[in-house]
Amino acid sequence: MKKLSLALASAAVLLSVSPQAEAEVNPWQQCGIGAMIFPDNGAAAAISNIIWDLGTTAVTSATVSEETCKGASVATAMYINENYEQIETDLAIGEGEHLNAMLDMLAPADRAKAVAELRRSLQIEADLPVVKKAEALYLRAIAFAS
Amino acid sequence: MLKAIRPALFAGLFICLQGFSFGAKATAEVTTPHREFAQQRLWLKLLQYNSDGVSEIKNDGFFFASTGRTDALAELNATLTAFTQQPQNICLFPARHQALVEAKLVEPFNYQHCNEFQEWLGTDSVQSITLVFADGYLKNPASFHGHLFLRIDSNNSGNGNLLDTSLNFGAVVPDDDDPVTYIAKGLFGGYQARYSAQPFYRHNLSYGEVELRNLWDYQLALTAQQAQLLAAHLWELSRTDYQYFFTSKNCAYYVARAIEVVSNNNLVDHNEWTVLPTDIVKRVHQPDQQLVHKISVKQSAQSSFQAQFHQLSQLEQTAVRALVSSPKQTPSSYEALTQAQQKRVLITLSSYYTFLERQQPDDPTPKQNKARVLRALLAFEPGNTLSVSVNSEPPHLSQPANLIRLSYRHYQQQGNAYALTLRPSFYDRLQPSAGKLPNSALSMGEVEIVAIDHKLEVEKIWLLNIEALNVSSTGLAHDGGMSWMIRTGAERRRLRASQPKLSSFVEAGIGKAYKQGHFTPYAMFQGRIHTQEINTDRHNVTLNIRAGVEFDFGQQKGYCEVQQPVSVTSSFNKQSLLTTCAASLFHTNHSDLHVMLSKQNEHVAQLGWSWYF
Repeated sequence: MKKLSLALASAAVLLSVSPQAEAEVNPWQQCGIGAMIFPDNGAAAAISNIIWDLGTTAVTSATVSEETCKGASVATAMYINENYEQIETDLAIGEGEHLNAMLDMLAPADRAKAVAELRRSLQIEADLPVVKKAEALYLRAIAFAS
Repeated sequence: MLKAIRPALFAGLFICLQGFSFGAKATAEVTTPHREFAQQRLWLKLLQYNSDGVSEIKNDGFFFASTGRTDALAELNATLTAFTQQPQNICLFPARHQALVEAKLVEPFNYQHCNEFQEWLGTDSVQSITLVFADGYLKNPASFHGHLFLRIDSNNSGNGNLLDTSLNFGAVVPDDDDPVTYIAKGLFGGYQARYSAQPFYRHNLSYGEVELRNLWDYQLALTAQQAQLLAAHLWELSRTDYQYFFTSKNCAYYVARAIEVVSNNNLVDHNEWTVLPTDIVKRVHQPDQQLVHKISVKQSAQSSFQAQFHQLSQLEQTAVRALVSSPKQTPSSYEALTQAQQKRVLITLSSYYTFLERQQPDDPTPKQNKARVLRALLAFEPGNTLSVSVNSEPPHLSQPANLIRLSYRHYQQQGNAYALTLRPSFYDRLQPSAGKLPNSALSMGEVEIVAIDHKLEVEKIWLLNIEALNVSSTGLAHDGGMSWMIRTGAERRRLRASQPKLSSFVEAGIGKAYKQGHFTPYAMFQGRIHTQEINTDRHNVTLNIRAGVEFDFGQQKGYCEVQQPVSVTSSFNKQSLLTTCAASLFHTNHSDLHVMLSKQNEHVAQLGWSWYF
């Protein structure tokens, strides 16, 4: 029952975005960044790519292959996906470097208003996978920024 | 090499450049200015020449001249020709081009036309270059000595440079290499290595949030022109390959090589046997280099929440503890606080649970507790009201890795002795912890020779020694984790008996530690498998219960501890209690003075002078 309600909540978020946002590439749906590169934990994905220290880890690419998945919106999505926990914390506090970086990527006309809107609509669900929460935040964020 | 540029870009660029007039002719003539420029430091550094006059870059594509790896003038002329005949080459070597423009050997070019280069840079405006040092990490041998990489900083000051491009140097290691192959190939040049660009947020996440390492920023003191030159040179290097050596030709070496393009003096020599990240940070920070503009630190998730906790008042800390103990309730200690105090408590808790969330990704409890805290925070006005100060020491203040120590010892029964200790790497418990994990020790290849009773004896050969007191400074659950130690080699237990044998051993232990101000009490349970320590030994296993306290007052650092060894055969036989107190009385960047008193079946007092280089 709980899973069902979470799924419905997620769907509601996805359906509530503006037409402009819908027109954008959804990197989770179309580029598979959630499943292909970052299963559920951005940290784990980052580790697989970066533990060089004196240089001893395979250097792999975290970029997606399709040309359509290389734009700025996908870069924003990847950033949100990998840093969701910190962005969520910054949003709850109301400021922070991770939140600022996301706003720099989105470049909303009114940053304070965007933060207020995102705080108001922030869904803090411990049981929802990070990938899902990141996707929902991304879609809300680009909707507010557009 | 040219395949890196897409045909469309070729065509577009070529059209854009039809009207350009270059100073060099299609086939460049060897003129005096050319000869002079070809021998200048800048050109040689751009070609990555070492002091033997040979470029360290293996890729043929890095050179336009067939002899470019050893002939700087030939490469200069070939470069001028290549830029003139095929201007798209400028986008592959913008640093060379910038240097040639400054030398008035070619005309300026708008690098904004170089799409791939601009995309790689990640910014329209390179403001500065920062050398980033990640503190040492004891859970991965490759990370013991810390790590270095470079970041190309843009103008966005409020986002912690999270989106800026950082350039990391690393070996290409196949996933299926076993640990023995990995070590052997790493030590003896079995891996290829290359640079790789990533947004800085990935390093912040990996090093700071997961591995809990502080990231030290050394922003280089460069003019805008120099910053652009170095950034462009990093782009040139991003397509090159190298032979990787773990101890010498590693990240620190090649990062230093790159920076030399804008430094007045060399930072590293290709004949050095060991090059460590801390060595390079110290060299970059030397006053005569005038290379460092600003030093700052991005604290790890653990350091950050600990600093926040210690910033709180006693009442606020009590509320934090109460909320951690009973996260589903609202304790009276929290309700009694003002709104501003409550927010400070919640901010600290959010950092604490973020830290736990990273360390225990499979445990849902920290996530659930954090969700409660964040929901509570959303009820407050936006804004962070809890600023923290940093009290860690930057890595350039650390002592160098190589050690020579001379010690005088007086044994109560065996008389006077003189010891010579040699250690190529890295540090012991009595040294300052700048750039290292606090309350830890890491040494490799430590050898000690003792002159005693008119004989010279090998007293100790420690192949590896790691001790890590994983300290809790807040007392909150899971802040700290388990402390541990591992040691292997051979040594004489001279305090156990007067005629000890050189006993080979492997030892490991696990325990707990807690930090209280300047003091860190700890306790460990250790097990040791060894050969005979004295002639009468009938056992090869010794268990050891060890407890002590470390203290750190800056210049004075030390510990006192007691150990109870137990010989294990078919029964358990207690050995005599071993007590030790050791301290560093003072230290400089290159030396210190140690004292030690220790007692088991024999007493010893030691005075040692150490030189680090």
